[in-house]
Amino acid sequence: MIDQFLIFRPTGQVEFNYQPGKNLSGVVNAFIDQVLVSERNLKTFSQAEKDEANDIDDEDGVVVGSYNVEKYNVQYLSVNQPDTKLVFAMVHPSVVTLRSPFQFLRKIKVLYLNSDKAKFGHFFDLNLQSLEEKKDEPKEDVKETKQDKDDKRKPKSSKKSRKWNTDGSFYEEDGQTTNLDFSGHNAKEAQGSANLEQLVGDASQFGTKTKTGEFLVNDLSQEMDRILSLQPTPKAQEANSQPFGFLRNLIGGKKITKEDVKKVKSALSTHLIKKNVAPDVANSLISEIEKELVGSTTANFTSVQETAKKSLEKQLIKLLTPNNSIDLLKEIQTKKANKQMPYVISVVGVNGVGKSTNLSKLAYWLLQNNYRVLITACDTFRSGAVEQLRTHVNNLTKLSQDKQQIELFEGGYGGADLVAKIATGAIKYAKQNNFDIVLLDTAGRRHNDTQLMAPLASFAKAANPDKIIMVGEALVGTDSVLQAQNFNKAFGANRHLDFFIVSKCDTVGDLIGSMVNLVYATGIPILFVGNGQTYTDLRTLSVDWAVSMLMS
Amino acid sequence: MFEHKDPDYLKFIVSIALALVVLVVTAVIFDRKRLFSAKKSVFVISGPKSSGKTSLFELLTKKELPVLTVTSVEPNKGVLNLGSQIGSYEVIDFPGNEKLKSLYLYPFLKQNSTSLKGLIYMIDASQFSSEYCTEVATDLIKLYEITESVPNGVDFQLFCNKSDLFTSKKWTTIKTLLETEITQICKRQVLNLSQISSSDDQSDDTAGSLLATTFGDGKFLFERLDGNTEFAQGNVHKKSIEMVSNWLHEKAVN
Repeated sequence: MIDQFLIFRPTGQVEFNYQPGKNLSGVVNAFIDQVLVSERNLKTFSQAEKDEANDIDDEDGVVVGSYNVEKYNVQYLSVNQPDTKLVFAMVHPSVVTLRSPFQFLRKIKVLYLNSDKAKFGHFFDLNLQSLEEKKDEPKEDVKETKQDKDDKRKPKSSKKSRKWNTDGSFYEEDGQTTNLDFSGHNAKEAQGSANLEQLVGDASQFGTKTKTGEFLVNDLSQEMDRILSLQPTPKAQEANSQPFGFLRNLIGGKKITKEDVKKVKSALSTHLIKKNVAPDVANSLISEIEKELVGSTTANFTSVQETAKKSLEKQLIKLLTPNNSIDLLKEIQTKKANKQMPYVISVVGVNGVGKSTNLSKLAYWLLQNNYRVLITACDTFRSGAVEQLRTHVNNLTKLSQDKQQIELFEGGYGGADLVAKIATGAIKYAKQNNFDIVLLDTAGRRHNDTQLMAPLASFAKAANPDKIIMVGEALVGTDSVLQAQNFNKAFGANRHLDFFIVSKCDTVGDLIGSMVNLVYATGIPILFVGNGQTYTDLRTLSVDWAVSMLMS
Repeated sequence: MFEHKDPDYLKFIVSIALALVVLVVTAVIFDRKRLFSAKKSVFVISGPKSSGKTSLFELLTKKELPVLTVTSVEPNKGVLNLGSQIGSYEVIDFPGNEKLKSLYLYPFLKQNSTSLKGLIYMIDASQFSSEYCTEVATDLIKLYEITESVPNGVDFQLFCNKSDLFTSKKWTTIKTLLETEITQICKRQVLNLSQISSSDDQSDDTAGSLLATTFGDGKFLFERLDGNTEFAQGNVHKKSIEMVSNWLHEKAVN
């Protein structure tokens, strides 16, 4: 049922591995890459508030969630506390649905943190049995799923301590009883079933003087219950209880509490919003920081505020650094070497963001590298679009050494069906005339108009560009989140944007928050940055530069 | 008159002494380690994802292999004991993920380039395809850009892991492949658009100028780097890492 259960440290060492079949660490690695390293939880404001009210986490620094890779589902629980950093991950096929997997994970967590290694193996087996046993009882099934639903809505109130009987079956109890009285329940249960294990269990309850070693199962389950029942004791408030605790605000070494973070939170989010970061993105980023900070201690001679700022800087570096670097020239070279020319690049975006301008900048750069470029006017809609491109091409022809290096392919104006036709025609023409690169300029479109966005899918299918670039402007604010998301979705299930060009960066100074918006909304990297009016004003993004601008 | 002045004078002395005591006490309490011990020399383990860095780290620091490893999200820090004569060194294993490298590895190298004793770069020789080669080459260039800015550079060991498998490439092949790839990347870097910066003066083309000296006859050569780069092979998962430990001993003694 469970294909693999791993307990590992964030530093990579696996501490416990339950693996009945083949090793699925590839699935776990994909999960780590996607979730633990580059997770972006975009929460809208109302959602964030709801979460706040619900307080999903049962403890500081404990996060649960699930993730889908191919045919597998990974359910995880990560503990991020200063003294213990662990991730509990459970891999099972997506077709199998487990009931209350998170309760199982929480229980395992408690058991793992409170027992030694040898015993934990047995505990795990026992729990696994119970998880699998439940599967055979359809009646309980219904009850369980219902409870699970409740669980999601208000996990705190419905959390029950579960207790095991000697035979591995369990019962649930509200409240937080610390002393267990087994005799009563066992006596009741014994009447019902007459299996051997239970009889042995009863025998021990009557106090026969057998050696404890003989009742290993019984002992273990009792100990497990003890550990589980001990857990919900409220944590002692230790903040500021030390002498000179207030000094730690200045000197450092202070344990950061939720209240501390709350104070800094609003300052940080206004800072981000002032930099043109969308409020939703800012809040989501800061909730990540909150997760990281709560429970940790400040470094020497740093205040909570500085620590939070450092943490934000880290988050931004992590966000803006692409997962794998794109080397356009390398790809073009490889394609040319394999004689599969032309290399097709398409540019999309909202009206007036600078698609044609940045396309010509790209063309200029490619011309400098001695490639033959065919610029294609796929904007058949806006009057003057073709003429605008012709002007650029004329300029670029004058600027290039070889006058045959650049040409314009046009098909006049017309409906949406004409676009795909022009694109395929251009690629064919480029093949016949030995062009290396085809640059497709598309019409600007409003991202929330489905009628305008629909032709993009067929266009991408017909032209099948090697790279689809979205041009986003630095001037736009909150809307950039939706722009990026909608354009990313527009090309169908198997195709998405390859990277962004952020234009008009010279007009905003250090308010480059829309870069954060674009990347946070989609996870797609920014490759180029437009910072001026001339053909040479195209740069690659430097993460250090962007982060220092955002933090200033 | 003398008697009149004395209490003030005493008060002053006492308050200064008190301030000093407080200072020393707080320093001792909060920062004992950092204030009173010199910076330790460090060995760094780096390399692409799932090349066996964490396993090597565990093997070096604990002398045994972990049950299994998954992708690291945080750096591993530990103490490397090289015997009583040589002493112990710090060893840090950095995650191979691109995002995490710019978060942990690059800032660390920039700050600690002087206390860096050496860098072990792990490669999985069994999956050394052309894409893998490009990835490693790009990564190495980034590292060299940092380490070559220090006088005499930093010594590297390129450890080809799983070299005993029959699908693996030999280290000599890997070396020539990497040299050609680095040459090509450097040539492309000149053609590429420059990075955006606040001052926007185009003179700070560090990448080209730094590695330019390492080109002999228009080709990049590992021998021409300031820091020494050695190639080694073995298999971490079979505990055959003699070449690494020998190298570590050698670097530690020098």
